[in-house]
Amino acid sequence: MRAQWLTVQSFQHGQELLAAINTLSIHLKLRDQSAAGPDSAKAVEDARRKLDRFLEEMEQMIGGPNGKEVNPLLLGTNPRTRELAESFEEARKDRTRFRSELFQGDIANVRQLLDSNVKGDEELLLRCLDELRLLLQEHVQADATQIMGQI
Amino acid sequence: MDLLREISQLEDVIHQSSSGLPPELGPYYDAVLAMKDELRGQVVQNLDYLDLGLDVILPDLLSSTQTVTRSFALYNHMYVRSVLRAKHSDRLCLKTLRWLHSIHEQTRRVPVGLSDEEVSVVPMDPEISMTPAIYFLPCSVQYGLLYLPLFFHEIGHLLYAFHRREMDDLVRDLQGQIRGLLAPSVQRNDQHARDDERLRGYIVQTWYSWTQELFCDAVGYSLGGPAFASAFSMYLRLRGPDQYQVSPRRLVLRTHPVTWLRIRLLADRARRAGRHHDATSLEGAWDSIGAAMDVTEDYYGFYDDSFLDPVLSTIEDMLTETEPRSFREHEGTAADPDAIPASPVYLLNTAWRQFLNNPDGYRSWEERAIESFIATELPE
Repeated sequence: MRAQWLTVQSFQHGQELLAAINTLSIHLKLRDQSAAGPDSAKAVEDARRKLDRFLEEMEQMIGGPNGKEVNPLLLGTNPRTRELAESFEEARKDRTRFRSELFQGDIANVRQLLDSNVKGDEELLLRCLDELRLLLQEHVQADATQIMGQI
Repeated sequence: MDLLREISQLEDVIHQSSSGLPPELGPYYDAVLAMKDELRGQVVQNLDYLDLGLDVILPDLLSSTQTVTRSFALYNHMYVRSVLRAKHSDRLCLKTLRWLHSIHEQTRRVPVGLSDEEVSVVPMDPEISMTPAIYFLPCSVQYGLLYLPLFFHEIGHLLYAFHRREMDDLVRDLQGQIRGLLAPSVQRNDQHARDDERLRGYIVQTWYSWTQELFCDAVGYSLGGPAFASAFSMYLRLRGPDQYQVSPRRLVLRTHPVTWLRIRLLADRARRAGRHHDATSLEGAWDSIGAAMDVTEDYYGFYDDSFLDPVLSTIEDMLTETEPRSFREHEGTAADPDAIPASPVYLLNTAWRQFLNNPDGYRSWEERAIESFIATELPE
């Protein structure tokens, strides 16, 4: 008996988050250029809410920049989500690749950026989204390899 | 553009396969086409964005294209295959699976597909989307009745997915209790103590998926009664020593509990249901094979008898939360093996009785029973 469910669900969750990042990032950049794209306002709002839920989850598992490391006994959490939280924690130590507020600051601040209309905040948020995308791509790619193998 | 071409090409193949599909695969076929439309929509949207000619969004479009390419790869790898490989003989499995989904409110509208691999399920995540569920069963057992009860375990994973938050909370509580039971009576601060602490952490983490698997076993027993216990035991008991004992190193974060332990818990469940003879015979078979291999029962701290009460209590709470159908006593004791089956559970329990009582005459009985089952309209 195989336990594909863990990996496939992790893959689908990661893909959803990547799609949300792309939707929001494109929306913010087009708005900055006063251009319009085919994405609906609802799709953008859904993307914000998905990312907010995910960041809330990470915040609970990891805490602030000076807070606890990922609790090794993180309970009630599936192993792939725990591994993602561990990758997040690792990324915080990699100040060359991960320099945004999301990794070097407070996750709570980034959650506020998601809904902010303050000038300049969009730039900060876009940097966070870029780096989160990097982290998630690695995680999703590992799931994809486990499910589909490599050629 | 290349991805669009590939999607169209696959679409043609899917359409060509539509004639002659088992009727039970209809909703799954529609769902697979809808998934294809969704993927095509994402590609077209990316092309529309590209037409805006804005360099600033190119990194996002690249990522978006990679995302949809990966989704298409999964679609190709997993979802399409159940349509392209479909054959008339799938009706037995698909009819059983459709019935199984129809009797649970949560899964009623989830289409089912079938594919050929080791027993497993790929459930959708209802919080993300209502993609279909694919059940896997090895080719050799798809044509008979005896191992269909293994699906009763697999649907447990779907029920878990529908109640994920509540179920994860219950698992969290259980892991907390296990952590408490493992805590040393004396705290030291040396390397040995740190190693022990790390091992305790692994044990507690390992129980996340073990709890889900034991819950699914309980769902299997709740749905199928003795037929599930027989199928589960017979399917796994001759697969080798690692069904009986696993080294501590390989127990760390293992997705499934050692099968011997699962048998103990199934026997416990049978006893609690008053089926003492079934419980004794189940454990007896495993004990004999274990003894013949000179393997003793040892879970190296990953399970201890002190875990039993909290584990059983958690699983009871999980069953209450998800409400799988309960096996009805008459489904396991019907006297007439040729009676029209009122439910697959009745049929599968009859099959095991027939097989155990008269293995030589079983195949001819099974052929008639399958024919009659396929022709019968099942009550939900």
